[in-house]
Amino acid sequence: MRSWLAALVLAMVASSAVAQDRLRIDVDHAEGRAYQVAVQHFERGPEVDAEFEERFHKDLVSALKYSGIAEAISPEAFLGTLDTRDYEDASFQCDEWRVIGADALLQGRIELTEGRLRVRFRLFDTVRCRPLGKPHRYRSGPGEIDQRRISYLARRLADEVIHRFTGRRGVSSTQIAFVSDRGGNKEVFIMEADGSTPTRVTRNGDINLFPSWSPDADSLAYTSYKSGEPDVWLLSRGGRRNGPLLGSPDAKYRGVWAPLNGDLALVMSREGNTDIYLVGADGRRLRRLTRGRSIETSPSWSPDGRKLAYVSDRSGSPQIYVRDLATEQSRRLTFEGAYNASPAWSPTGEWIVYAARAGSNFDLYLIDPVSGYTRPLVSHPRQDEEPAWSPDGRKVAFVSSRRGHREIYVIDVDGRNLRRLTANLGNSSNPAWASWLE
Amino acid sequence: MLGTQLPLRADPAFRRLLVWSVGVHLGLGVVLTLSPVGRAAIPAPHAVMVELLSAPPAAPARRPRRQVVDEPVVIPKRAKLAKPAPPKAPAKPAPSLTAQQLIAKIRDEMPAEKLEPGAAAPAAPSRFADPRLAAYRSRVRALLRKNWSGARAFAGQPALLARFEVEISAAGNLVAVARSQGSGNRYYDESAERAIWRAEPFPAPPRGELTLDINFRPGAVF
Repeated sequence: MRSWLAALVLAMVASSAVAQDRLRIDVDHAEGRAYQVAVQHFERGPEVDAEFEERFHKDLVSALKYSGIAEAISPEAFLGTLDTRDYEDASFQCDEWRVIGADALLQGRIELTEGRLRVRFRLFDTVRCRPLGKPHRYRSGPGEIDQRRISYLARRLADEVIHRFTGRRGVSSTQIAFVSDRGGNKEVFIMEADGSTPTRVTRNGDINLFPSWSPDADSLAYTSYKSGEPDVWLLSRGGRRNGPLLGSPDAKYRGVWAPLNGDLALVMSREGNTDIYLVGADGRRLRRLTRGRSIETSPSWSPDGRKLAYVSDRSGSPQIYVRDLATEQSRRLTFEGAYNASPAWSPTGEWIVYAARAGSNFDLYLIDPVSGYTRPLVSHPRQDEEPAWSPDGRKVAFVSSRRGHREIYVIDVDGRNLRRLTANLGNSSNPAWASWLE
Repeated sequence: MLGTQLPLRADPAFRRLLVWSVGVHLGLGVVLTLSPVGRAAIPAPHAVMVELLSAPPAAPARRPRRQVVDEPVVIPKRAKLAKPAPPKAPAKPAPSLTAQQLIAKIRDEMPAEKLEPGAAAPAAPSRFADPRLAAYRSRVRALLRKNWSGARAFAGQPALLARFEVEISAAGNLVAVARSQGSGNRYYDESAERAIWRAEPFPAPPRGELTLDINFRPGAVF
């Protein structure tokens, strides 16, 4: 009887769908196309020469491509003008951009005023034929206008375009600290997120490791052997501070900045045992977090600063654990594999990326810290290790030896958009991705 | 003819032969009736009948499911990450639904492929749906997927769902686009709505004006 009723209802349902000519369509995924942005050459002020603007435009297009979310349309496809003719005139012909497949039109003006570079721009939604956000401007700091400043402004602008599409800024204007032995010994370097302009920031001729950015991207903690024993040092932009974090003689292997309150998780060996401690950036309020005869290391903070992922060998092999700082309870997170290391908690909180040994190699995996669901991120016959998240949680920088030397690569969290950042100059390691520098 | 036979019946030898013949035939009939040789073959047709009645319908029913290529991929991650539904208020007495309301409710809860099986599994023609509508749905879905720019920026967020009611003219032009349910993320909603506007003009609906209920989900990243 029930089956007859069900059949009757189904028949009525289906017939009604036809009678009303109403269709339901589920669009469960897209083809993965990036936002198509028509980027005009910006109008130039009288002091800005064409080469200047050309460089700016090139860096802007490159930064959009780096995001993986938007990309510039080739100017050869333009039906409208290649240049912003009159920035003050906000009118535009929507159809001539829409017909070439543009999602948006980016136009603006670049000028030099009072010794500073000023960029004004506006973004149009060419599909809906309306502005996408309000007109905006960026201005460089005082000082000489060099290629670096131009490039930074271009990348800031590109990150803002990504924000207007997605609600989250792009990361092309951020920086990555890393360790390189290109000068003969291991020193800390800083490069732009796309790998450009690497700059050495330590020069002590000794071993320097494990850089970690402060949440405001203004200071670095790093481990140095320059005093003989490993010690954690703090280094601020502009050289305002460069000294050891703690005055104690204990060996300190690594300091990792907490995301919110300015404290650091400190890996320190005291009384013959390596554990994780908590300490303020001023070296005060030292507190022990883990206890036991096992080795605890590689701390990584959850984005709310309430939990800590770390590696412990208490089970007999290195595995990843999560410690709740409020309850002081730890729970084991990884159970597959005999060697899991280098956890890094995503800024969005939904993943922990880590390196897992498979055979003789390390590959990268993502694990849900709540459910334990795991999926591979990077698999390659050579080593892939030491992952670090971008501040928007969309990219992961990591170290790979797939080309012989250890180089730093970056990949999107969906496994696409792989690119190498360092350029075959010695071995590079320990990437640490900074937040946006305001 | 009868006249010629009467004298033979009177013959005693003929009568003995007749009685013997009748007896032999009766005996043979009893033996054949009670013999076990014939019984052994009886169950066989039943067994064959079971096979013939059950096997053929199973094959066409299963094959189309394996051929479906555009069904949503169910990733364990999505299910596990889905936030638990907030506790419901004490259930109110359900109002009685009219037949049309009941149909609308079932349609809303039913996967699209159940309503239009031909769209998801072309090999299994629906008994109910107009195949032209099923084909039209496939074309529009492909068109929307192609025109949904930047969707990967939102991939891996299974809670996002944006619904739009879209009216299409007989020529395939957009008449009206209305967001019937937002996802809570305005950037996501705008990306989905932009996909609809980008996709215009749509192919002409097979039976004139048409209303589309379009659900945008970001899908799995992985």
